[in-house]
Amino acid sequence: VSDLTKLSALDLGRRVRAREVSAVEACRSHLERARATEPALHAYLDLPEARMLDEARGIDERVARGEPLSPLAGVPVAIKDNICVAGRPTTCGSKILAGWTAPYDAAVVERLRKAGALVFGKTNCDEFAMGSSNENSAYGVVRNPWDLARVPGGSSGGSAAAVTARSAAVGLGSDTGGSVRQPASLCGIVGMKPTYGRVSRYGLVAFASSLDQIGPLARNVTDAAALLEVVGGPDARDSTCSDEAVPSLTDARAPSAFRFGIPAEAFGEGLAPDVRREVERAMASLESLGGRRVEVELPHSSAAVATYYVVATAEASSNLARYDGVRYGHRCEAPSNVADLIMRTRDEGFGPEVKRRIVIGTYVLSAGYYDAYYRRANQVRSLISRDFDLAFDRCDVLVMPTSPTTAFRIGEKTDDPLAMYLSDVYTVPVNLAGLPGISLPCGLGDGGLPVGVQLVAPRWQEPRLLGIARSLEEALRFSEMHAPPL
Amino acid sequence: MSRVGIDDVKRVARLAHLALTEDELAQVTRNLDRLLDYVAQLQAIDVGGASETVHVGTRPTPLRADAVRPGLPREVVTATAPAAEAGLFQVPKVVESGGESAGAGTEAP
Repeated sequence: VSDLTKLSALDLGRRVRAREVSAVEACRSHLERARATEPALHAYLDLPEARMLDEARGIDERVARGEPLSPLAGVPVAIKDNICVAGRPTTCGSKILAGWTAPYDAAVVERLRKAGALVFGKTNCDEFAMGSSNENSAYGVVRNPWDLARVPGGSSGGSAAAVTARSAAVGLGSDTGGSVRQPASLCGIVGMKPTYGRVSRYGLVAFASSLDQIGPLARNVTDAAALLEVVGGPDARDSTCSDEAVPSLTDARAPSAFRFGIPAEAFGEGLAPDVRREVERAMASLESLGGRRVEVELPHSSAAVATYYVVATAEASSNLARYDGVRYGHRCEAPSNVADLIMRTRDEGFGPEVKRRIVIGTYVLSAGYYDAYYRRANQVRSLISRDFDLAFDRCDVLVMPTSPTTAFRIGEKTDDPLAMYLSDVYTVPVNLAGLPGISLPCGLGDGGLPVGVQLVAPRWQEPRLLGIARSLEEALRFSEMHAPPL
Repeated sequence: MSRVGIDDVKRVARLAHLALTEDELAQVTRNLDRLLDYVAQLQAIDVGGASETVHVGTRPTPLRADAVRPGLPREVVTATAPAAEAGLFQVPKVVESGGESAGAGTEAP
């Protein structure tokens, strides 16, 4: 093969195990591709060539010894920079963790190593995963491989851009309100948020713990499924992680007959006409696969963004209290006392969006406001979950857009935080209810920008979700017809 | 009518240990005010007797044995700390001479 970066992750892994190509060659190809694309994209924050080549050599030795490795042997996996990799910088896109080196591997990274996958570059992201455009990174914006004047989405925009541009075969992101699915949608690739509790978050830097979930980004559904098979499963170090093993996912297909639900609320005001058109085309493809269209209602979904920004900021204000300049990361110069140390360290280290969310979160939790905001939001959250449960009585999966628009211009929404938050309107309800959801590219909108369609399944139904997604992908043939210019 | 003023944000910022500049205070006040306006829609929803979501998982939380296990070695943890000595994190003096606590104070002793 002339260019290993053009292979699917599973094809590359198969060739590594068959010793047709080496993990070192796979690593070199992707490094070369990164050298060509990074000046334009800025997807990576850490790409230590010598170290990664060394680890690739280790994988080749394991292959040579005949060690049984996973289907992702030798496959370079990009890692969002809020996931700890021992001995490597982990900044979460924040100045407050500049220069900090993770002392241990996250559970997902341990599993990648055990599987013989190559732990590749660490990717740029919105600071502490707070953002929908990657413009909140303290280390500079990531650009969309389809149009360099546009955002790749966020917060896992670096992983999405890298996988899209083939400087990684697959990538890991984290999805709190859409941070895997939305950038996948804006970059024309596949991004999945597993069921809450499917993947251990040990070593994922916490943002909003009742919502955070690690998920795969890939150029096709089967690669995403293979990555989830490797990183998912029980882990006693994360008490929210289910003790059930991940079922087989890579060979899942749509059943010959199934019902897909269309929530009327997801096709109302605010949805761009080109996105609507392409998502409707995807629904027609589902019908041609034997799917039956069912109208469903999610009556409380209009309150999902409001609910989300109360719950997520409240949890963030608590989780981010740990950045005090004492144990890790940035510390202000010459603090006069402990209070000064903490206050100035946080003022210097956090960016505007993180400060904004900490203030909002602290406000909604503070005395006198807790009942009106936080308690109320968690009651509405229960209603949103119940809406989904009722909808799934009538259908097997839900179908809706991933994002109301295609990729927007860099700077277009930075002055209006609320407008930015509303770009998550179709993804946040899924996190609030803890459901698995996937975005896959379904066509090009105006200006030749990719549109993603989102499928959502009941909790723990990843085989069904990925099966229908894979059959839809085969019917749509997006990646056979379209590729980014970069 | 605005829901929050600068003084509210100052109070909350102090609770959150954030030292915001005057510019930041003004901007965050505007942002918080607009967001609370938007979030006010939650008040209009009839929640009936809906319980609060505390955990979205439908499965019971798995339990592990309550056994002693090694943690990270002390030198590994302190190696990435901003200031450490003899296996301990260094912080400014917490107890001032004369025995007065300087915890939240800003005045010089």
